[in-house]
Amino acid sequence: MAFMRSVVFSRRVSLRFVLLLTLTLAVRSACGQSTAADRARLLQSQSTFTPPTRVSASGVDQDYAASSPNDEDLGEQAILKRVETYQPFILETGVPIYYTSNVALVDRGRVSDVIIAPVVGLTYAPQFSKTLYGEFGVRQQFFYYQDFTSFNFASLDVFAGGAYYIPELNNLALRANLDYNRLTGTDNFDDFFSNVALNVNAEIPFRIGRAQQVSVGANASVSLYADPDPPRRHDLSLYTGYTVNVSRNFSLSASGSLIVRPYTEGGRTDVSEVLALGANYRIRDWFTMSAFTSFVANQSNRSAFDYEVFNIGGGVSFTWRF
Amino acid sequence: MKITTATSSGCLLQKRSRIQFSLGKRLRQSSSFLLLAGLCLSAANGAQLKQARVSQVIKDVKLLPAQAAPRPAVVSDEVREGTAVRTGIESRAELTFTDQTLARLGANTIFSFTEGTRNLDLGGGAMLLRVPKNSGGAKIHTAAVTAAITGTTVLLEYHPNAFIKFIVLEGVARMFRKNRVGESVLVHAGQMLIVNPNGEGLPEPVDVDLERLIKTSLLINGFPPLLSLDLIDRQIATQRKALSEGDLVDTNLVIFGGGTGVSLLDPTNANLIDQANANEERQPSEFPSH
Repeated sequence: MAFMRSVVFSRRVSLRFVLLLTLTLAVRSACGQSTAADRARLLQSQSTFTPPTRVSASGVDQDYAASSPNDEDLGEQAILKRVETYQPFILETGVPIYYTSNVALVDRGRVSDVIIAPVVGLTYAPQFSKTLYGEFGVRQQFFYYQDFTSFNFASLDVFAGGAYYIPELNNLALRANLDYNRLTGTDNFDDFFSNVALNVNAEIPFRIGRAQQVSVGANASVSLYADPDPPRRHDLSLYTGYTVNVSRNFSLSASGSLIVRPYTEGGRTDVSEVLALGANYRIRDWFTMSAFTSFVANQSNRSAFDYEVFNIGGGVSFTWRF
Repeated sequence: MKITTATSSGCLLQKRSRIQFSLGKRLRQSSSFLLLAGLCLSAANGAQLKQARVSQVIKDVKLLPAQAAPRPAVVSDEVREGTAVRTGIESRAELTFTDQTLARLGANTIFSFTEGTRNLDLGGGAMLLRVPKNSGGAKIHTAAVTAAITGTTVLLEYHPNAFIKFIVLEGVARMFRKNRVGESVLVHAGQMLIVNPNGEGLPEPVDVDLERLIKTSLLINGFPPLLSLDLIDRQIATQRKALSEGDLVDTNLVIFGGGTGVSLLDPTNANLIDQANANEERQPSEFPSH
């Protein structure tokens, strides 16, 4: 009996133990499952890449580049604005030297020569508004022929006018000025010809990237007064130009123009075609070396004035703004 | 007489030809020497970027050899052509070349270089590059834009298809677009250029406050002092002077680190004062008047 009791007791104990063990294991298992689930969720949340809102795959956020993990590496960029000071005075001087194939601009009996043409000019271009500028200046140039010294002459220009830019029309530039030109000998100031002209110009530039530009323009120079009168003429031209900045300091240019020159007396009208090529090397902001060449073909309704001329040369120029 | 003359002329010619020969020989020797010296110099310059040494490692930096498995980088590891360096999150590294050219890489950056040239390649991320003067310069290549520098310290951030940010701390650099003739911009000390790699042109650079940038950049503060710090300080002084003279003005626009998102600051606290005044007006008076 006692044995039976002990067996029953031991069965009850073992049953309780088994139940307890099962319960413990179940609880532990539940705990383990919970921890694993938590860990899984945690890992899942850690491993899942959540892209910032509104940021596209290209890294653009509302049309701006999105911030990146390199934020602190780069530091803060506080943007400063440079205040540009406009300098209205321009002093220019230069010495072009060039060969010309036709000194007298004639059709037959052409003779060539070398011309040295030092020039100096001062321009005052005040800024009246963001797009309106004044242009007042004086310019003197001397033309010295190496062999045919009797052709030597000097040219003085005094001009006053302005320039207006229209950004809405592809930066169309409109210029107008009144120009007084006086041709004299190189060793005296007695004029052998003087002319007052109204010059108007319209030019529209087309930029191709940062380095290239094509310009198209029209120019009219209407003579208002000349002394003596017979060589007085008007100049009407259409032109196109191309410039490429090969490097920061080196640029190449090409231009072509068609000019009609009706003379006010004698019914003479000339038509000229001009092709020009140039190369500029800027050594300093104020110092430029250049090379140029041009070809002019002139046809006149008075065949005696037909001519062709080829020029090639180079020079140095100095420009100061203040 | 004629013979004498001829003879003397012959002697003179011989002497001249000897002189010319000797002069020619000297010229040839001099030019050979100069050529040799030039070759040696260029060879020395070329050799300068043959290898780099890892001089700083912060957190997760890996070397990625072309023919082997990636391995963690340790200080003094050699990096040669064909081995890229990649940094992980919040990690940075510094590479020192034999000519003291210094490349500091920011987080999530991949960088490599071409041996025997002075071409560095930034696959993405941010870096500081300091090239000593008279070392032959360097070119940093990204997919669309190249930056050419000589004796310059620059910061560069590049994220493909997003933007390229280029800041010059001292010296001058030229940034140009690949395959577009003449499309280049000169970037001076204290200027920043942000470029769209998929665009066509290059914008104008803008000025940035160098002092603030230097104080907040981990690529400068998270490493030992730069050898070009004196030059940067000089640029900071120049910028301070320009600010005090009114040539430069503060815009209150700030880019906080990477990206191109600009924040407008309010240094006068005008908005805060307006808010405070508005609150004051909104609050009921303690002693309402009757």
